[in-house]
Amino acid sequence: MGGAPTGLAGIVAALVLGWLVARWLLGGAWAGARWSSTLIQISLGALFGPAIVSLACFLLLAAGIANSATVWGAQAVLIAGAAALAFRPGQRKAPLSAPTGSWPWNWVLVIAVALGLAALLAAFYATSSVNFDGDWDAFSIWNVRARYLAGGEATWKRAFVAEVGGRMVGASHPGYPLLLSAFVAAEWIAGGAVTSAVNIAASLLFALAVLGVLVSSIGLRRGTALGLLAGLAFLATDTFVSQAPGQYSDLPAALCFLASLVLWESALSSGSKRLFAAAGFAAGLAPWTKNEGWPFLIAFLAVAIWRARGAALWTVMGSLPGVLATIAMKAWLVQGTEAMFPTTSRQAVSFLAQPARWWAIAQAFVHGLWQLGALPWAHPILLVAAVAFVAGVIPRPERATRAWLLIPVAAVFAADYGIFVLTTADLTWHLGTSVDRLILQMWPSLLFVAFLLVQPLEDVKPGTNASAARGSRARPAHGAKLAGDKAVSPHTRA
Amino acid sequence: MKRRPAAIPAVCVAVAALSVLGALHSYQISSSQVEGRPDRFGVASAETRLAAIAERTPPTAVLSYISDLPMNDAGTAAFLAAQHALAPRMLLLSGTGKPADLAVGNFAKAGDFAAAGANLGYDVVQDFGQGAVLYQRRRP
Repeated sequence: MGGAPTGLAGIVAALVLGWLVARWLLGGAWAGARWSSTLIQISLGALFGPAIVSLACFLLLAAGIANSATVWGAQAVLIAGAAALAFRPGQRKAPLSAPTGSWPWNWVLVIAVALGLAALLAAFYATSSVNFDGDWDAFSIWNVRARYLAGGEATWKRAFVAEVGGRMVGASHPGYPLLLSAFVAAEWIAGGAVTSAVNIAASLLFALAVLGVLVSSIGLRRGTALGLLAGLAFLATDTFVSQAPGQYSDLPAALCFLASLVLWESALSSGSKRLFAAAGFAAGLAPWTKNEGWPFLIAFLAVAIWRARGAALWTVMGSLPGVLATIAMKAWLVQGTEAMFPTTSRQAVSFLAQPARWWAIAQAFVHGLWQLGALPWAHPILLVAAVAFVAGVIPRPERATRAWLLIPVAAVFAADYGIFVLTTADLTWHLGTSVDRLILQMWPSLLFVAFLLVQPLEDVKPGTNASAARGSRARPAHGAKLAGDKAVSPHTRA
Repeated sequence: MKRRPAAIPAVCVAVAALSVLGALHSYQISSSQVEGRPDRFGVASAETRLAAIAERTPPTAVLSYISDLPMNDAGTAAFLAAQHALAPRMLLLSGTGKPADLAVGNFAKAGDFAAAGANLGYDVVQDFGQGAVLYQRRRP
């Protein structure tokens, strides 16, 4: 039996693998509501599992032994190993506590999330049922490279040549990373057939995973109510709903960024070596997913070393699988370069010296932020501001200890800005076809940091003095250090 | 920023309602964009039209690309859709390398496909209809 059912079974296997790895790395890290602990394990598993499968597929292809049996065999071995680690008896550190209590209006938020999720799934179905192979970049870059990879030893290296895309500016990307393409290819190989069901399912998996990590991470750190509200702000993001079925790598990249920050924030609070390593693993997958992952990773590791000193060694080591695979791909396989950058320094300087370019890019980013919401009065930025306005924000010292989480995201933004300044492609075209997706990569992380700064609603008592601004009730476990303590912690929407 | 406990329930419920409305509006936009424009890049169409060429050529084949479309948006989309349909076969745009022994014709309009190939040094092997033609490089 082959084709779609077997390919989809492979995706389920990857998810199981990822969940087991997440369970091992995270196990018992948080003491919050059971639903949020389970959801974060599954959602992070939706990153870890496909990523590990994509790395395994890359290794199997490089060894010349990629076929259905070896892909299934690798997945089985990895699942067995991860299960042994995940269920190994042993002492666990005291978990980070979470806000206690329940906000009386949570039931309204739950219903709203269910309705928003239904709208997302309906939009996903409407688009995927007529565009089986995704949007422009999906069929011209990500999925077509997956087809070359899935062709096995005779054709897999074609994924790295500039002829894919006809050597055309904007269409030819021989150096694009492989997480999405290799994962899809792995499950096509496992299923014995190239079937759109696999790439559609992968796209849905990553979209739901970003939502799941956001909701559960805020739920664990700031309480259920804020977790649900963060999810609602994301579901109200039109760019997310429109891009979810696109089958691009932007949502997987967003997932890498978000997962890294979520895991790092908790690692620093708990001192857990496994969480430090998990954060590094997620960050190391960013350049394996999209080239924008490099500025994120570099800034992330720099911040990690600054904030955690020696403990950052675990983070650096955790990042190695994704980093080494990416470097190996770019060093030994990629032929040709992006035909989108200046060939001389003089040309580059001339671009840098044009104020009009800088201004046009700034305008495009502002426009992209505006386009995050389909309805002005339901714009996600407005919704977040409204929640923060009434719930209050945490005291200034606590805000400062979380603000540094934005540094890696700022690095991505700065790199994106620089690429637009230097692009040799038509700037209007380049901005119009990518700014919204670049913002989407950063948006879940921005929502995460924003909601980390808001006071939990569970802390609200009837008759509370509005001027008595209090910090979160969440306290680090005995023996763990506080966060902030030194040295522990072809495409715009119509 | 101070807390406003009395306003929290009303504002958060309003945020929830607005979020749902926003999500529903996004769904409406998505469904209206695809309505009447299924397969807007011609990817599925290319899979169908070029399926016979895919069966006649090995997966490892390298094929030159011949078309009556200029490389504007429509022509680029047609090339990329054909590339996707024929992968893992490599499709070469003219001028991007040495012409391959085999070529695929991907034509948008009826015409003299034999002449189109002959101009580039190819003879027709088989015309599969719907603008899909398989060519063989003419021997010197």
